[in-house]
Amino acid sequence: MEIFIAQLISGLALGSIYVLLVTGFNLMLLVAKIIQFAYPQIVVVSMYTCWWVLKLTGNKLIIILAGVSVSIILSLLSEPIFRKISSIEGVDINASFIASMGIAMIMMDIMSHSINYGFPVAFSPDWVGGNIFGYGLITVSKGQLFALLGGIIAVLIFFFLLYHTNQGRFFRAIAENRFAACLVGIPIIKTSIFSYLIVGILGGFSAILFSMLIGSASPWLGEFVALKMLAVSIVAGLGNLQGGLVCGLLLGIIEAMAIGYFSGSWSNVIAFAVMLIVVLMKPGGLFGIKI
Amino acid sequence: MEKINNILEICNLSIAYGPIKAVKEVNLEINHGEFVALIGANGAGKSSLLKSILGINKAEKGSIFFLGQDITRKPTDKIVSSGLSLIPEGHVIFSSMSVLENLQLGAYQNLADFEENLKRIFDYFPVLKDRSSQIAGTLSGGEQQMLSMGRALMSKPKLILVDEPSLGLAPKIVTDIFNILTELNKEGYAILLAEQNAKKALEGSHRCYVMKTGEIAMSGFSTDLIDDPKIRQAYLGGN
Ligand SMILES: Nc1ncnc2c1ncn2[C@@H]1O[C@H](COP(=O)(O)OP(=O)(O)OP(=O)(O)O)[C@@H](O)[C@H]1O
Ligand SMILES: [Mg+2]
Repeated sequence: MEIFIAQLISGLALGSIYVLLVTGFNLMLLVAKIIQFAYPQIVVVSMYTCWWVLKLTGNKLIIILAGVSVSIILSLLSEPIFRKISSIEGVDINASFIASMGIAMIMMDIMSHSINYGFPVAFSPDWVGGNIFGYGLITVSKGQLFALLGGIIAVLIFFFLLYHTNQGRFFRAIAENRFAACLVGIPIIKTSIFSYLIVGILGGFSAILFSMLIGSASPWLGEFVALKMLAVSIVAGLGNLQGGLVCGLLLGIIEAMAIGYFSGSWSNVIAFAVMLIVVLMKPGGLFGIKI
Repeated sequence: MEKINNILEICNLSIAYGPIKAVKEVNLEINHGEFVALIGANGAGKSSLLKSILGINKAEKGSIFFLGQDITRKPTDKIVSSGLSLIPEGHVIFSSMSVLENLQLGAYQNLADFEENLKRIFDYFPVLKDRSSQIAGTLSGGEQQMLSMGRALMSKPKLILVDEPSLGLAPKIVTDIFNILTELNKEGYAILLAEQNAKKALEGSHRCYVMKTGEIAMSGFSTDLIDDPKIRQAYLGGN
């Protein structure tokens, strides 16, 4: 029972990172109509930024601002590229997949060639923090608490924006029917750029929470996480924001349980096996495709 | 200086989809308060023409003037906010949103007198009032058409472009919709209506353009065209 609770906590913390990633990914899919495979890589670059600034200053606010800014800038920089390969009807979604894989690859290579000799970077204990709660096997680390709380707050704010503001209504309108959105006079390009901004902010927060949770980052972390993000999005149903919440958390929990109950590093195999079974049974995803 | 009394003027407009020339050198004019029909067979280019007025299809050649302003290459959101609205063919609605939310989106360019506008729309389409919290996708075809019209009117346009509102609807509802269009026109809205139902279109409108394979084949007062033997032969099913 103690193992179960301990793994549940660590699974929820990891899951909330997946939730943030898949939410940003889905927003890109719905509003900008692109497959932003490079999104987790942007998050990793933002983690590297935090690591680097952390060495210069202990000021947490500066570190957070730096991480979030880099994520926003990278997200916004990718917008003109994706718009360039778009056709008049909207972005060709397959072309955007290839382009974003290319962008991810470039970022990965830059990190593996020129930062910290290509070795993974470790965050200082001051940033990561130790356990703040312990009872037998059950522990809660500072990173876990922040990941969970931060994830919940970010998601709440995001859904508030989506359902209670004009911009959010524009997002939903474009997601649902681009032509009708055009007809009522929604500025499509401007709204799309705004979605890149939101995803940039979300990415920055993910980077901060992720670095606190795992305490390290590596050049290949982005691609690894990108595969999981894509898988979660497909399993939940592409573009299904609510489904992404559930499935992101579930993936975290499944991985943590696999780590807790099976020795050796089988967690990825088990996670992907479960997802394969789900996709075989429900090709449209558990909650239905929304694009 | 010459006084501009047309609300819309289209000069030598051509539209192409790759090698397909959908609209060829079309000239068309709508005066303030006028109800103009655009009739033609399937694929004549009516929808392409209407969509290009709103900037959804880009014009290959020619220009479009709305209230004396060149809007040919303006983005759609600017064109909509200047007072043009298109009710497209088929029922183009936000089907997972509520009826009210659809209307709110229609009004977003003109939020100032939202309540008053909404009341006006509900007067035209009482069914929308009863169904305002229903999910739009669950409305019947006719109700969806009304919603599509109501949403277009929420922005308080000066000129309404209507693309085949009668498509796939029962005769009774078609009559209702034409009555509403006539009523809107009497209130001062200028209307450009694309229709395959030539009889209804000619009866309701002041003037009419006949489109044939991308070109304007004929134009004139609707009362004249309705008696024209060629029109009767081609569009009104003989004598
Ligand atoms: N997106 C598109 N790509 C390629 N060709 C198109 C496109 N849209 C329309 N066309 C072509 O342009 C021509 C005119 O089409 P349009 O839809 O304007 O006709 P229409 O008069 O509205 O016909 P209908 O009464 O059937 O609605 C047709 O030959 C059509 O096949
Ligand atoms: Mg048409």
